[in-house]
Amino acid sequence: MSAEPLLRVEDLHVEFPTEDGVVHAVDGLSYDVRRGRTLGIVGESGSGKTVSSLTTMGLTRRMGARISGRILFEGRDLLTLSEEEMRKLRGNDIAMVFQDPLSSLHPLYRVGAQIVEALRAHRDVPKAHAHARAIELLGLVGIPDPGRRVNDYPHEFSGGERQRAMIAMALVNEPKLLIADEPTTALDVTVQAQILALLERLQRELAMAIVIVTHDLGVVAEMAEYIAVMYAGRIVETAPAERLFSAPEHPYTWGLLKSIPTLEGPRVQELEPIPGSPPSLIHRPSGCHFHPRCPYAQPEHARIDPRSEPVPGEPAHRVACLLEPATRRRLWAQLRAGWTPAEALIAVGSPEGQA
Amino acid sequence: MSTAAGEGLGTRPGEPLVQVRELVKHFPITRGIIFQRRIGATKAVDGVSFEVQRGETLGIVGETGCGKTTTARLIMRLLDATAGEIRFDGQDITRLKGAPLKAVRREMQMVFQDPYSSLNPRKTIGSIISEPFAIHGLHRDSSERKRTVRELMDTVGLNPEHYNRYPHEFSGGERQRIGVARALALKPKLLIADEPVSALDVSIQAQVLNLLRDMQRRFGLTLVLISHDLSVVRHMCDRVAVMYRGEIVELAFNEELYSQPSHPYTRALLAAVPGARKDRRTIPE
Amino acid sequence: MTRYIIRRILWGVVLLILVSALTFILFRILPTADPARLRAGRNASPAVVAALRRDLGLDKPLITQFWIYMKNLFLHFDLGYSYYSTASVKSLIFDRLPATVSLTVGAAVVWLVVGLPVGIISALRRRSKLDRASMGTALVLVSAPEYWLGLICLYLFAADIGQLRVFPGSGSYVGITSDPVKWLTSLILPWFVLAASFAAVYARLIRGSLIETMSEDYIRTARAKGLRERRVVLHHGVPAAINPILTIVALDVGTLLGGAILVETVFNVPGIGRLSYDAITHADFPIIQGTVLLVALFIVVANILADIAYAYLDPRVRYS
Repeated sequence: MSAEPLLRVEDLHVEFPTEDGVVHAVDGLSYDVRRGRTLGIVGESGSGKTVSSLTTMGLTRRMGARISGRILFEGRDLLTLSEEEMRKLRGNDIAMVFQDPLSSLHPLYRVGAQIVEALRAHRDVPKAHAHARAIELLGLVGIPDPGRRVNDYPHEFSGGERQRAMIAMALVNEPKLLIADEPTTALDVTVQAQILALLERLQRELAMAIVIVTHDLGVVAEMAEYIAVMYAGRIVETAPAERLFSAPEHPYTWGLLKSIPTLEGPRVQELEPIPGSPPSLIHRPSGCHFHPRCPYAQPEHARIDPRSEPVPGEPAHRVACLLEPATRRRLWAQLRAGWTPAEALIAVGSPEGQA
Repeated sequence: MSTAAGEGLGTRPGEPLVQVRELVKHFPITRGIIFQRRIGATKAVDGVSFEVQRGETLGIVGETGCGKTTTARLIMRLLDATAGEIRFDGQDITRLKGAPLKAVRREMQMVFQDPYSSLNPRKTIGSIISEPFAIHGLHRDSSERKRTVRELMDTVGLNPEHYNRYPHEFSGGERQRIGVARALALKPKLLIADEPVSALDVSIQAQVLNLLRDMQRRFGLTLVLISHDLSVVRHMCDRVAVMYRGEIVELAFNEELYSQPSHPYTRALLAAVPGARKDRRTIPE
Repeated sequence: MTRYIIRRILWGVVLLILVSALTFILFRILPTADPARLRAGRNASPAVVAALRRDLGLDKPLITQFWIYMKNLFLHFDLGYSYYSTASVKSLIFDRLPATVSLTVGAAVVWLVVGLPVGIISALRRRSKLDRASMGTALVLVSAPEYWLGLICLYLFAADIGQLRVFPGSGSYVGITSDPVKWLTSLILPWFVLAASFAAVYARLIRGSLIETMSEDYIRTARAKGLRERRVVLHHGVPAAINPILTIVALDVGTLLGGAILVETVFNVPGIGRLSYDAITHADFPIIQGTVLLVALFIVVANILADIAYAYLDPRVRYS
């Protein structure tokens, strides 16, 4: 395992000026991705997760975004590169797969031609060779009869096959990093399972790092070694996958885990939703962005910005929360035992006034 | 014990609210230059039979194209069945038309999937929720109507002061509440929810599911929940029907289906849910 | 797809029959001038007028006239004879067709070559000075009446009467076979005038369509693949945005082939437009019917060609 992370995002801020005000899509984001590893980024709509991936690819530049911070890829700061230098990386060293494969593939061109185009954008390769490579890749991603299918159009593929084709297209130049933005959301559950299994297999075979961006906790549970939870443009918690589900530290993560129905474990009578809705990115709550919806918030949480700190005893586990670690541990113990947030709060007592 | 047809499993006394027998819906495929010949058919629903007991929550689960939404539309008589029988509250409604059908429509309502397109963007939510009254000639007095609508808004957790706002001013979860309020306006006996939370953020889904549960208890509704999400169905439903290619392949009580699924497709579905194989998603005791 | 084309052609034929029937009825029923009287002149006696009416077959019952007309048309492709000049309508039309075709095709080339690139660049550089200038100009050109624009051009550029004597004036059209250079130069002003408003419309159209297309997901994918922006626009964006242009170019060219009346009149180009205009003033039904039918024919054909082009360009259409 190499010491230097493949991708390091440092204090990334991305803003978009719009008619209604400035949209603070990403607000001080920092995370690492190591070679050959999988990072899951979990967030709901308005969390900024997609903007952060698009910014890594340099695709937010033309949207009039104001970007600050650093994105280090193999030591180079992507934000300082020229458009041409970024273009050379895109689809080459860093590739991206998007959510809806029907609208993400060009409807007028054959799938094979689109893969060939991705290849020849970065490598000087004769057409026949590129065509053969496209067939090879379609086979690699599990499309039967690739020699024939390579000449089909996107609408002639099924949903799952289209996503496989998109993955094939992203892999054609053997990227070191693959960013998958909601790769399975538009797909049926059995097809989802196949695509995730495919991604796992490809990662092993190609030693590729993957960042999987999704709102589905099940998907990151399945795929990711590390998970970063985003809320309103910030990462609120980062942890190894097992720790995130067994000992989460942030009230938002608790809220998510308690509000999602599960397939295993006892059937919960009432789900515990997080009250309110995700905030607008134009008018965000001050201080801790989650405080209006947090059952354990204190008055000063509206004034102080939480910093990301490691959890005591777990250096790989970081959380950005203003509550005392000990208080958090106690609250989680209550929630885990089945108490509601209100009950947990009473049981633990006032978080800061604890004797 | 799970049966293929699920009939006769009622543990509540009295007749089931909905009875569906051998329901079939074919969409014709035509071809021809001047005169269209029918050369085949898409069998969206191909011989489906089940019952829904009063007060129960039945889940219909399946992947794209399995026929679950078509089945719902057939029960609601938004589509005409090709064959088979639909009985609602003891009455055969399969071929009903006109005034009798309109009367039946008051008793069954639907909540739709996409909160962004299922509400008319040009109408205030007050008028959206009161539209059923206008259609069925109820609450003709406008101040009484307004009062009833505002009560409904309060019941579903909306601020009654927002009576004159437009859909785009609300979030997805709130819009879904508007849809529920509209569906409940006529105090129906049956509520069919077609993927009511699929388009919503994860943290909001629980709010809407709780709301449906709540409304069911308060109004004594019978609820049919259609979803592709097995976890949601597990949480909400007493019995679950699994559909595949227009047929029900398994229909069982909740606990049995999830702990001992008998049909291979059900097992495949359960195994395919991400995170299902690894036990990471459970909150350990 | 052949099925699709055959069906379109059959419907096209039905449409043509309907159009000819409708034109016939309209011109006979609406209170227009009596062609016999017009032909006879101002001081003709009623007897002369009546005799002319008999000659022209106008005294027969409408149904009979209709039947005769349709029979001649569809069985013999005989469009009848002009009431005014007794020349065969078919020969008149064929004489005038080359001028109209030259005018239309030339103008179409100009408006596509000018309008599309301007629209594309405007779409890519939204709200820039270029965008605002070109859209502003487009607005002016669309609003300016053709004949006004034509007269201004003649006033400024015509060799015989203009301020700057650059191009041949009105009435100088000759066939391409007799003098290609003169043919070309005489058409430059008419081409510009005819193309002006169309170029403006097309620029706006492709601008809007391209703006929408460029926000599609597959454009984002193309950029994510690391393609050069030029390729993204020209290879991924424009072909997908071209649909509305295809639709409208078929209609426009089809219609114009039936005669650009105003431009032909101002520049005195002997095309179908002039023919129709003259025929209308003389209530010369057979010619009017003939030209209307011609326009209908061109539009039907143009639309069928456009449909074929769609199917060729968009594989999704092909297989449905």
